[in-house]
Amino acid sequence: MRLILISLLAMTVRMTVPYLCTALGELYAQKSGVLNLGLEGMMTVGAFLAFMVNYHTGSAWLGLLAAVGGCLLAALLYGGLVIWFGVDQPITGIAFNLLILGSSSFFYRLAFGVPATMPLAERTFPLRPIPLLSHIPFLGEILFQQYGLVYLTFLLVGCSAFFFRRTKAGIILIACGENPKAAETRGVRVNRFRLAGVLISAVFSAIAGTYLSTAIFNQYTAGMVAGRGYIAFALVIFGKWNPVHIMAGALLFGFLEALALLMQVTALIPHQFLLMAPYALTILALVVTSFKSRSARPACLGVRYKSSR
Amino acid sequence: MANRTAAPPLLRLEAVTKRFGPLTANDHISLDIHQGEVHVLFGENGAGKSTLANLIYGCLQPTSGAIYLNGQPARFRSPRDAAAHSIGMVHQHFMLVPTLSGIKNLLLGLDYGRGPLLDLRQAWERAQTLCEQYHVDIDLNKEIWKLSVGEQQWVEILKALFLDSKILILDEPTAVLTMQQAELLMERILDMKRAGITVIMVSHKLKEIDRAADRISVLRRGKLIGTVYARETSHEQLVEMMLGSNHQLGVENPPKTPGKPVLELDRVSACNSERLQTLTDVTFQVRGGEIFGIAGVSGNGQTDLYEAVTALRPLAAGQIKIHGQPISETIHYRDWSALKVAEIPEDRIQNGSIGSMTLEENLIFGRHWDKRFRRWGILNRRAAAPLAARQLEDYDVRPAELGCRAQALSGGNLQKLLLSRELSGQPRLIVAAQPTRGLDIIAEEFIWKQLLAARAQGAACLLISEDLDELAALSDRIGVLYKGRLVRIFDGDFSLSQIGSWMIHGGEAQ
Repeated sequence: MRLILISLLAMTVRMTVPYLCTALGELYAQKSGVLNLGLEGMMTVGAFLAFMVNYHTGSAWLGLLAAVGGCLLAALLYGGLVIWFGVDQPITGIAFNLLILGSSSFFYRLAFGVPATMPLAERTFPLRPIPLLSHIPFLGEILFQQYGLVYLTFLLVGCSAFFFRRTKAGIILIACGENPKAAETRGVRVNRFRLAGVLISAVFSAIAGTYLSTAIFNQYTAGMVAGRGYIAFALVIFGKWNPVHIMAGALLFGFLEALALLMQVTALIPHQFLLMAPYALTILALVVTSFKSRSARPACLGVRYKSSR
Repeated sequence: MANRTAAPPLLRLEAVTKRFGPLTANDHISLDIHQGEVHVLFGENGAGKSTLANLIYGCLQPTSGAIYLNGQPARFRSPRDAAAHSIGMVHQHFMLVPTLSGIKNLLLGLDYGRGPLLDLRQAWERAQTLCEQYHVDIDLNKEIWKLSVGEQQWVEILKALFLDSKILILDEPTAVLTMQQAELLMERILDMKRAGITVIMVSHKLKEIDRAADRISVLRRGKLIGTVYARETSHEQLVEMMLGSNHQLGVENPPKTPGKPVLELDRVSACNSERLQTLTDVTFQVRGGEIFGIAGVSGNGQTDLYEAVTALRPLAAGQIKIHGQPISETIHYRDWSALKVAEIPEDRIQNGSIGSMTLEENLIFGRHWDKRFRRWGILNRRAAAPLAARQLEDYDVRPAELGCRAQALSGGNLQKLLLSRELSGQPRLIVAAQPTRGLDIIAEEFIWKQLLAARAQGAACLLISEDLDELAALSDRIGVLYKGRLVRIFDGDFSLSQIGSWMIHGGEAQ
């Protein structure tokens, strides 16, 4: 029983990361006033590039680098379109997701045809137990026998909270999303900061995608991101634009996913129910969180800013 | 003007021109601003005052002309440039981030403190010193949205003072303030002057000029008419400069010939959305052909009274009758419109109009069910258009284009639009809240005339206003609202100071 519980909770932490990392990135974009609905596509780009580079070079880190590079390019295109040309943000995001969904399958086919056995990543990210801490009974086994990217992601929660509360760039980013004109009168180049927000969200999505294909699953399959990008997007709203609340939400989704995996093995409940649960929960959470006196939603979210000069 | 000061002017504008497409907002404006003076840019709405202020602050770039600071040519490419030259500006629409605390708003975009981190403690101490100097009591740790409008304005002013601004530009600083707040602000402006700060204030209110101004530059249609010393210039002269002709200010208020009671309130009590009782035992009557003024310091139940009388607010107790017929908030819209009540709400943008709809559509709101405007249950635009066009012309709404969206109108024109809609149907009761707030003298006078004309035709009018001059000019009787109670009704002979003291003490001190 203890073993099951530990593996369930350790798996929860592990499955939380793709949601959490992507949602944290989206937080930067949204705080700056840009909706990046292309998270699903960005994660797919990250997962695909990380896997391909890993497969061919045998280096997990080069895979991560390629994923980040690819996502940055995509974000540059997306950011340019929506920030400077004022193209509708949600529509561009969804179009981007559909484009990536199709093209990633296409390139995968091009590279591997229809393989009889799924090609595996050459060299995946290993588990990195933390000395001493990992020997703490129970907690250590859950929290400190994880991948490096897991520690990094949870560290980013604190860093992000600090960034938005205590740094100059943090309040500028908030100002760009709340009252860009106010930021401009203080000499801020609003649209550059907004692009920075989008680029940060791309880097975080790339990390999440890399983590999926070369840390926990070791292979790339079409549609493997499986809606996580959309859920991460919802998590930002669910978490009321607060990094710690977003983490709480992500843990909930991670737990449901871990439970679904466990049920697949033990078959207590039909695991399809648990596969459905995250989506049902997303809707429920959004309904519940919409009953709130003052929304924390950035006032100029999704609104293009044109400098008056 | 004669050159009375030997020192070179602090700021000099030379033939500054700003064009927006075909429109010339500022036409070759040359003026000097001296060290330590309060200089008012005076003129009608749309005379180019705000544009000029924005040019000085670097928010806009002049099409031609030059600006000199301390005799040196200065070209401010951005507000940041201006700030670097110790110029600060408080915009009419606050440039604040509502979700950040006051102190973080002060620090926004500044290179203050070490490295990438905010130095909140040092900033806090500095801000506290400024607050003490100007007797301001604001919790700067609160987020902006939790502060009142007056407090928000102070955060905006502190933003400029925080940067050690030697020149402070205020763009219509009292437009959003109540009368008391406005008076207090003028006091503080004099404090700033004593501290050696040069203040440039955009205004169209004579009262503010009397209180604080040293010199006044009058603008009309983008041109500088002249710069005068406030001490040596009468209101009549200023108004003449502003309007260009011998314009008689003020309105005639013929004696009343009251008719039957139109609006009757009997021991009315009501609560606000937080369930606090905000109106208590209010009893009064307004007769046909009479203007009944409601005076009071803002927040003493005026909004509640307006909403109760216009059947928007349920009553906790008492009864309201219009033409002898009891009304309640459940009244059907068509029964309500049969009562012919003209409603002029306090917030003309939120409650009086729909910005994204056209002038024509805004003009037929509330009357869209009228037989004239519908055919087979469908809006008959062909019938509506000429009527709407005539109304725009009668009320001199500019631009007089039916297809123009309401949000494109200036405050004065929007209010005229509302008035033309509400008064055109021969109303028998007019309920007006702050009908001239934020408007220039011309628009104000126009609206006063319309209200008096309706009164002459026998309409009853309930006029809720914070502007005592307005109440005195129009009202036959004035009631004072204090903490939700009607504490005193002045009939005929009243003095403003008497009313003022009842507004502040509610008769408790007497």
